[in-house]
Amino acid sequence: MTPAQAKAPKKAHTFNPAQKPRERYSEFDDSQVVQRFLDGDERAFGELVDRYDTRLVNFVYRTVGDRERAQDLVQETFIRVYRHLHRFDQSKKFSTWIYTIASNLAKNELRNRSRNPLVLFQTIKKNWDADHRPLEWEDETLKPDDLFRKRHLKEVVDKAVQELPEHHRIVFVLRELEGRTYEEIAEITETNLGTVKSRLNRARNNFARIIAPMID
Amino acid sequence: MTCSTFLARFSEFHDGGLGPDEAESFRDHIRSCRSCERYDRVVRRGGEVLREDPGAVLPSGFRDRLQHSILLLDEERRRRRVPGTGSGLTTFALVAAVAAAMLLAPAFWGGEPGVELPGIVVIEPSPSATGTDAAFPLAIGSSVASLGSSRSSLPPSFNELELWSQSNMLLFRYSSLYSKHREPTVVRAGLR
Repeated sequence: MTPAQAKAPKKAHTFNPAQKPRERYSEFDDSQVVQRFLDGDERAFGELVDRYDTRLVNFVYRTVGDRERAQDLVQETFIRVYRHLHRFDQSKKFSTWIYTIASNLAKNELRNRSRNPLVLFQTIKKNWDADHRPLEWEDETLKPDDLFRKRHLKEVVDKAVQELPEHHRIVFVLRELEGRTYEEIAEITETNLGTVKSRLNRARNNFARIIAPMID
Repeated sequence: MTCSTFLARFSEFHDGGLGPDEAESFRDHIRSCRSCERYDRVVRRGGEVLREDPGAVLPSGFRDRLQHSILLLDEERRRRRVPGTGSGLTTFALVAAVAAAMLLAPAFWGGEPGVELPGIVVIEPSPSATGTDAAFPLAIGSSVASLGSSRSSLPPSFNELELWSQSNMLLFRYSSLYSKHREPTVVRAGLR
């Protein structure tokens, strides 16, 4: 952002996701949408939310292991983006920036949780939901044994991710689920490339060790 | 290639970060080593299962909640902007101006006020008093205080009769004090 942009009077943006249409943004990349928002087009922020809400919730959920809390943290991520977008260095990738914010919030959450170890009601509820989920929601072409095995494998995989140390887990999720490059992961986690490679390798090693008994 | 080398650089191979020759040597090792082949299969399958999971689904109120938070943020920003209506520099200049005015004001240094208020006249000055005893009418407090004291404390030109000048007499006559001592007289309209 140029100094002139930084000094430009702030226009009051009003984000309204109900405003349509936003189809014209589909041909814009993130940096162009960001620029539109900074130029006063309030609908551009809705487009950014559209592009990242589900991805971020999944990323944060995989990192903190709690769906409701993940939603709260992603809300906070978007609020921070809205508040500080004028300070975003547009020579960098927007996706890296937004993932950095979400990742830092997730790390803080895990740190706070380790300081105040509590069994969260949401965690109990999540486990209860998993135990009582009806079978008919799953693939009906599979036999009951297969269904059971598939569900169990999912649970083991989820558990394996949660068992990874925090700094390994974030790198693992960013690579395996989000498909981020090593360079982006290094930027998001504020580490160097060598650290990313080493953490990812260890994370995969631990992950494979946990789930191996479940895979033929 | 040894198994430890394979495991040490597995991620780079898995993510396509190796050159063609190196990648080929990894593939050769997988074909020849059952343990490393299984390791490769487990990691790939685990990743697939992870990606198959839809993960968290956004609740319907997610965006409404976000919009509400952002509206509050906008409101807060607007409120912060209103009292200042300017930058910190403007506020600083304003404070500096007030401080300068205070320092330059004569009252601040204990000087005389610029405007002197006129005295209050309670006794109509007689023509003789206007000359030499002009200061007397100003001394209301001193004249009241000296009522019980000796007459010598009054200014030498003070004439007691002046107290009963026409206007003061009228005030006295219509006061409750006068009604106690007046003689009863009957005055009827048209009888005189």
